[in-house]
Amino acid sequence: MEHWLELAKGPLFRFSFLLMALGMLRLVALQVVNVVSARHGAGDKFFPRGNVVRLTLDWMIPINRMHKLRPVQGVASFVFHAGMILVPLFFIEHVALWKKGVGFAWPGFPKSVADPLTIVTMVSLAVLVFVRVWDRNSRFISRGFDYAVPALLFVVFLTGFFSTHPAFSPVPYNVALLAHILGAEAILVMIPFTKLAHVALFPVIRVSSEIGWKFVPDAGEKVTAALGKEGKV
Amino acid sequence: MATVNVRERSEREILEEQLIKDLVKRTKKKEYKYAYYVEKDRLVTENRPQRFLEAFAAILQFTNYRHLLELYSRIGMKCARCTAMCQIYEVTKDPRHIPCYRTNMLLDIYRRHFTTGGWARAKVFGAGPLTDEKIDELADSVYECTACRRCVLECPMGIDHGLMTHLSRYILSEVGVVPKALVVATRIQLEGASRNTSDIPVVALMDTLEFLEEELTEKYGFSDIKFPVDKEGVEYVFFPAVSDYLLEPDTLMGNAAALYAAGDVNNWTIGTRNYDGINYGLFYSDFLLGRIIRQEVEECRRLGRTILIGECGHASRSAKFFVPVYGQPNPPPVVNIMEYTWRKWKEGKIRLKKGVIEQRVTYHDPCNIARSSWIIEQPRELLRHICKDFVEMTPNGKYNLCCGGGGGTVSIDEIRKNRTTVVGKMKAEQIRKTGAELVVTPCANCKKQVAEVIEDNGVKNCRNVGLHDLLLEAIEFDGSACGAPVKNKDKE
Repeated sequence: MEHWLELAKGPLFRFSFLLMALGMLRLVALQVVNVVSARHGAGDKFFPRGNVVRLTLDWMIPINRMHKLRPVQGVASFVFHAGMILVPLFFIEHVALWKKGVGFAWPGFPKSVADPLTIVTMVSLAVLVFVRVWDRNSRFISRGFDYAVPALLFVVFLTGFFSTHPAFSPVPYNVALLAHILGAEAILVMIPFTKLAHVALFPVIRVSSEIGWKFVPDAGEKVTAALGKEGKV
Repeated sequence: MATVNVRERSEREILEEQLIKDLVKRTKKKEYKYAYYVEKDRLVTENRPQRFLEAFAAILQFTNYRHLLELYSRIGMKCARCTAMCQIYEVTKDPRHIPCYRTNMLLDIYRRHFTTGGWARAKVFGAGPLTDEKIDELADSVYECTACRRCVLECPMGIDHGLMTHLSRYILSEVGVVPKALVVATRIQLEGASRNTSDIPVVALMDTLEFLEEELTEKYGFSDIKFPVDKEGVEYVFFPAVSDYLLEPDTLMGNAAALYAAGDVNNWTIGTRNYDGINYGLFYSDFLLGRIIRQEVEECRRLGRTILIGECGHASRSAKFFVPVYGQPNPPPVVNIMEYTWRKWKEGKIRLKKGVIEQRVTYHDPCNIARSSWIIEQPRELLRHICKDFVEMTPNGKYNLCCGGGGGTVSIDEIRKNRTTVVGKMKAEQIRKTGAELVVTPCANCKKQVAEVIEDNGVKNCRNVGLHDLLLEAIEFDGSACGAPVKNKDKE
């Protein structure tokens, strides 16, 4: 077991982190290249920069958005994301792991802060899943994967909690820790390839949507020609 | 006792089955496939999925949509938050009307046929290829949507469902699935002799203008007012929605009165080669959108410097946002008549009598000019000045509800019942709640739709007017209001 743990903490962690980082970099780079080339080909180069930046920030920190429409979902989502960012990055034990993995460290918070954070994150995650199932619409458009991701996240948080409180844990400490680390690594690997990609892509979404309306002047003619049509109405 | 274990069918399966039944029933009974008429000789019937994908591929190759599909197909969260914004969903509660679901119909096709991941997934899980049924579902769905883009405001991921509806319609139009009403109008506009969607010949236009001049002189006391035609070297070339010449004489008179009062009577003109601001290309084809814009720009260059759009939402938006695309080089500036009047009023060139309209008035924001926060406050300032009792609908401005006839659906007469009693139902309630007698709808599409909404939903003691219909009553000329209060006027 010790051997597995070492493997998970060391090479596997470095591998999944690298895969995530490179994958995210690739996604952002590709999207930036796409957006720049789309704008290059567009007939109208005007871009309402301030407006798009404001919108993006507004949704990135959606404090004044969450309570107006669907407050339960809004608040749960906000709390979940806050926990999701704070605990993996700033819990003191994680900081130590980051130092080992990436070579440098930053200040972190102790268990007394991490514990309540972990619990509210799990609760909010459960609420989110509950809302997804409860609401007829999101249930209708959701597919298996939309439940698999929160399930995995929940397991990671739960095993993390068990690892710091072995007294509550139904499984041996090592097993909980191993499951926690492997689960977290699975999530890191999933980021570039699944809908978790919004971690990286969020800042460019609204820029892209805006550029989407910048049409290419002669595209219509080219499409018509490519389809072998005469261009009559 | 043995129990028979029947797997419960999922909601989606039930709905899909229902959809196919609907389609079959409709095809049998009425001999057409969609909720709207399409031109039969246009419709691709053989090998349609293949042809659809070819059109999709060609569009992806030459346009700017690919990066969006790439992005949207990665990040959709399926949170269904958009349902709270969709007025069609709010009424029907049919999950097929969830904006995200509609967008995903297109994204699924994209994933399956244009990405390696989707292709591999299909191989592993055995997802079927594109079928006629899927195309038909998409075809019905994208013309139920009015492309009002209200859902865009609340998508946490910033997915522009309106743009996806636009793209879906574009691809569909390439395989012949497009409402006949839109095609016929566009054909007359681009290939007919009159060059306008209502097929009004120049002679009839001149007659109408003469009549309007007489009306303005007799009824309102403008002695030397003119509708200048084909005057070269002017600042403003005027493009209202051409249907105004048939249906909205008061709006046109108001427009002319504003230009006259502002001292621009010799500085604007109507071009006889093209006098139509309507652009149905915006609703179903980038190719036609561009052609119509170029025709408009050409006429503007022949006669003047600025494109002045009348009271029409989509005409304003298509010109404002797509003249810079298709009107290169040096695209002419685009001004909406409400912006113009408001500016001249602020500059003190137009004087308006205060509180001349006595009835309760409310204002409907056309999606195409309000959703992007382009024109929201200007007409309100004018209305607050000239009306004694101006009330707001809720929600309003950027968050307004669509009249229900957006995205070209107002021209499709065969879907009127659905358009007014389902899509326009919330609008009717909204209007009813204000208790207003006059609903100001500064858009040709909204005018037709709101009138029908009021009629079909039985909103009592209420009618809709244009902004300039009311301004016409309030414009001060030679120190006095030139017209009588609207209540004394027998409009009907």
